[in-house]
Amino acid sequence: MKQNLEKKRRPYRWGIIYGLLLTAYAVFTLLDAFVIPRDIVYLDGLSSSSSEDASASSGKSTQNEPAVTGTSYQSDNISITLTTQRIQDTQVYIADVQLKDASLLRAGLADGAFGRNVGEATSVIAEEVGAILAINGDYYGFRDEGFVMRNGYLYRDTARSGYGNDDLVIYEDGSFAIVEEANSDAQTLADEGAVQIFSFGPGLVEDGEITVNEATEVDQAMRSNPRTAIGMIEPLHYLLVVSDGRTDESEGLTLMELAQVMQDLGCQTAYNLDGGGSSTMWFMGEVVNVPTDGRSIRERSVSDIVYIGE
Amino acid sequence: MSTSANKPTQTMAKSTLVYSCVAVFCLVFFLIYDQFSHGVHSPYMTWLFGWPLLLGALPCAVFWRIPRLRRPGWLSVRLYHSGVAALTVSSMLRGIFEIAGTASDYQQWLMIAGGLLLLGGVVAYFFKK
Repeated sequence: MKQNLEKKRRPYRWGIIYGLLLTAYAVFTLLDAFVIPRDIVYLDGLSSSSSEDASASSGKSTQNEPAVTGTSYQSDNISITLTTQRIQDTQVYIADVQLKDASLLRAGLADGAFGRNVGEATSVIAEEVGAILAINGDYYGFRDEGFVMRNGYLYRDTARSGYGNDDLVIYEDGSFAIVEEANSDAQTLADEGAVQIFSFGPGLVEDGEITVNEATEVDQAMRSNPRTAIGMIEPLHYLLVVSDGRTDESEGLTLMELAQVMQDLGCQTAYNLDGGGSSTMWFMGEVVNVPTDGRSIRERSVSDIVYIGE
Repeated sequence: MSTSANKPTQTMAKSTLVYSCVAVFCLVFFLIYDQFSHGVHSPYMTWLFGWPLLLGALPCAVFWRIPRLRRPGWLSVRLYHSGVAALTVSSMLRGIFEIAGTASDYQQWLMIAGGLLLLGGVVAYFFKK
C-alpha cells in the first residue's frame, strides 16, 4: 500500500523539483537584469578632476556672481534659459544653453561609478556633481552593450548587436556627430577627440534634416511617451529638451514629433536619449518637469545624466 | 470505466488539459502585461501562449485522440515537458527584457537548454525500445 502511494507520487517529484529549479533560475535572471549591481568601475575623482583640468586649460572667464532666476542662469561662462511650450497636447520643457567652453557640458554617473544596475535619480546625481542644469542620459547601465564614454573616459567599447543603432558623439570642441554604432569603433572615436558617447537613439536630426519618420520608427516609439533629447544648434549652443507624457495633462510625443520639435528649434544635430519614466529635467535644485512611469509621479533611478556645471 | 489499458490515453488527456490551461494563463499574462508596457511589444510576449499550445497541448492531444500511436516512455515525457517549460519561461523572460529594452545571457542559455531538452525528448521517443 505504502509502495503504491510512493509510486503514485513519483511522477510528480521530477515536476516539482524541476519547477522549483526553473523558478529559481527565472528569478535570478530577473534580479541579474534589473536589480543586482555588477561590473562596477569606480574612477575616484576622474570625472570632476578631468573637468577641472579641462576648465583650467580652457578659455573660461574668471567668475563673477551669476544672475539666477527661476527660469534662467547667466554667468560669464554659461547662459541658460528655460521655456515651456505646449506642442501636440504635450508639455515640452526647453533649455537653451550657450557655453563659453565645451568642457562645461558634462556627464555624471550614479554613485560616481560605471556599472550595470547602478542607479540614482537624476536630481540626486545632479546634486552630487554640482550641476546647474541636468537631464537624464542614455541609461547605459540597463544594457550590456553599447559604447559608453563619459568625460573623456571610455568605459565600454562593445557595440550593440545589429544595425541601425545610432550613437551621439560629443567632441572636445563641442560639436556633435551621430554615428552608426556597428560601423564605428569606440577607440577610434576617442582618438578623434570624442569626450562623450551616448548609446540610445535614434538620431533625430542631422545637418538640419529630420532622420526619422513614422514608417521607420521602432516599435518603442510608436506611442506617445515622455521624451528626452539633446540637440546642437552650433558648437557651444545647445538645446536640452524634455517632454512629459503618459498623463491626462500631457500626452507625450512620438519620435517623429520630437524630431520636428528639435528641427523647428533650429538644431543641426539632435539625438534621442532615454525616455519614458527616465525623462527628467532638473534646474537649480528643482525638478522642472513631471517625471512619471505612467502609474505614479516620481523620478526613476537612472545610470547617468547630462549636465551643465561651472 | 478506467482500466490500466487506457491509462496512457487518460494521461495524455490530462496533459492536454494542463497545457491548455498554461496557454490560457500565458495569454492572460500577456494581456495584463500589455496594459503596463506603454505600447511596447515583443513577439516573445505576444505569442507566449504558443509554446504550451503548439508544443504542449497539440502533441498531447494527438496522442490522446490517436491511441494506436506508440506511447512515449518516461524519459521522453520528462525531457519533453521540461523542454516546453524552459522554452515558455525563457520566452516570457525575453518578452519582459525586450519590452524593458534590455537583454540577458541567462535567458538565452535557458532558451538553448529548453531546445536541447525538447530535442532530447523527441530523440528518446524515436529510440525507445
